[in-house]
Amino acid sequence: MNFPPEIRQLVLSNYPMIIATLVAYFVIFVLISWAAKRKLTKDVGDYVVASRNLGWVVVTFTMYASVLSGVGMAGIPGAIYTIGTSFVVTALTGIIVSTALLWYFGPRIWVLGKEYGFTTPGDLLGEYYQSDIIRMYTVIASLVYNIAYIVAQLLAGGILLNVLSGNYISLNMGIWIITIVVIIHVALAGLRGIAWLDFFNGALILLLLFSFGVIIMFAAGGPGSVVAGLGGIRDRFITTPGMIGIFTPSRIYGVMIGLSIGAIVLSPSAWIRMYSARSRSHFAKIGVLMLVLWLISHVIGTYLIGTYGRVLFPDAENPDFISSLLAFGVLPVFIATLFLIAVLAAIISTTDTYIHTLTATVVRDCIRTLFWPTMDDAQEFRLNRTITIGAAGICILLALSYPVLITPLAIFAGGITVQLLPPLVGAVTWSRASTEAALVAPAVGILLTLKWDMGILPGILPPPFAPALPGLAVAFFINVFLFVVISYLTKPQPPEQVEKFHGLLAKEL
Amino acid sequence: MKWNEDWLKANRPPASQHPKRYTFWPRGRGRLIFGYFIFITLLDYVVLTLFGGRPILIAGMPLLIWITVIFAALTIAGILGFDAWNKNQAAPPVATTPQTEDNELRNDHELPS
Repeated sequence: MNFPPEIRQLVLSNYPMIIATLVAYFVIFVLISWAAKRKLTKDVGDYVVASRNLGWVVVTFTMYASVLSGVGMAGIPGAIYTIGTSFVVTALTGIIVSTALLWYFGPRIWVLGKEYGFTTPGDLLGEYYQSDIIRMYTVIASLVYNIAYIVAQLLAGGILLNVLSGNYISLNMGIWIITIVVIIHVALAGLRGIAWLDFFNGALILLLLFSFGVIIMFAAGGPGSVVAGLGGIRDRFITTPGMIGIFTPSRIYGVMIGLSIGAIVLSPSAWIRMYSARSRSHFAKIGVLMLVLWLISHVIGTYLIGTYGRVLFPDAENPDFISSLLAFGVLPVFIATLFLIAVLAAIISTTDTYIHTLTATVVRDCIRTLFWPTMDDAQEFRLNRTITIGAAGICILLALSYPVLITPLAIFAGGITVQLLPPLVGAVTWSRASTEAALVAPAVGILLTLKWDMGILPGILPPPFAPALPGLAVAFFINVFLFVVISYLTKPQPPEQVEKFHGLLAKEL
Repeated sequence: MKWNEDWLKANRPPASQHPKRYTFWPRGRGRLIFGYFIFITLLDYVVLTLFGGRPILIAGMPLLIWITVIFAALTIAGILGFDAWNKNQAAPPVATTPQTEDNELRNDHELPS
């Protein structure tokens, strides 16, 4: 995966200005990290969930910036370039549904987390179903989801640093630099530092995506002129089923399950942010503001970038680079540089969030629960910092070994975490759910997703009803079906357990 | 290794004795909220199916985008409307992390100084 040579040439001709901008960004980064470190206490709750004291604007921006990542800045414009308007509709539909789900589940997760001191998804599900196997499902989902995302981000960040440094920093060196910066930031500042940095990064990303879209409209003569420039492919580009002929409404809804719901509502990092909010009454504001941010980003930003990229560069070799290519094609060089810095910011926001989440879930749900139950909070706090280095090392090795495409990986990763939705519904809404159902159904869903989306399990099952629905959506629906059926065939939870969770929620909400 | 599967030892009553209070389909106001969001989602799907294939531009943007923006607007209206309704109906005060309520507005926009 290489940056287009014309971008390298433009970077080299503006080298001093680009380096100065890059340095300015990292100075702000260090200042934010330092300020957050001053507030960090030696309490593991402060490190993992920021003492459940983050304001709603900060929570919104940290969710927005960490999910957006290189996927939103590079992958989604590339997918729109390839597929057409159907793909931006897929992304937005998923975000809309996720917003409603966040408003519903957020307060419930928050109330339970505050009452019983939960800091991870495994705390909540493992406690409700009284099963460490179910707790391990959350660890597996966290490992797969976070590692998949981190590897893609490190690789993209390495390439970006390589380009921004005018080839002075090699790809491998770029990966190492980003990893070391992120490790120091996460270990020193905890979730509060991550959230504050995400606030800055999110604002920067939003501003740049919006500016990019507005400048495209001026350059082309309005949004209608952008579409008119598509020429003979115009009608296919702006309608379903899109350029590749498979993005029907059912596929739009199927893909969005993994692309958005899995990432925005069910990913371990989103879950931890729900614990970290200051009040349960904030989730309506968080959901609405996040949806507005995403609408601005996608309708004005990524849609116009992908579409105009198709107009100006119809034969781009790698669609993931179309936003960078277009930036230097239509933006003033300084703004184009800032756009690349914003891509780097998105990459860093995602990497720090997911390394923090990966570490917190492994330490709490695996090491403390299974191997070291007498571990106190101070030891857990120190272990979190230590494991961060190990987790980052594994991700570096994978990034150097397995170059990957961004967007398919994101959809797959979300397809794994979304399999936790039925057990979550059982724990906070549907008390008839049984532990047997929570044991069997998500496991089947995860295995079928691995089989149908990644093809890494031996073939005993034929592919699902493709192309009407993607494999991860079929796997999810089978999970839901099994969860309901097995629950009705087995005994429900003990009454005291039901009262502990559902009774508390009925009283509080 | 300390591996807990306490559910195997738990005394679980038969389904016939399970309390019916905490069901998936809520009663009253909750049912209306569920119904609203399911309705607008189905409406979006139907409208995408019926009109998504038409190459129409409105103010320079494809019809597909407008359908999705309207779906988003209905979702925002639903969340804000039902949230306000819930707050008006709720008797007990809102649960909030102690000691921070007074500083909530200031800290909502808190950034390193």
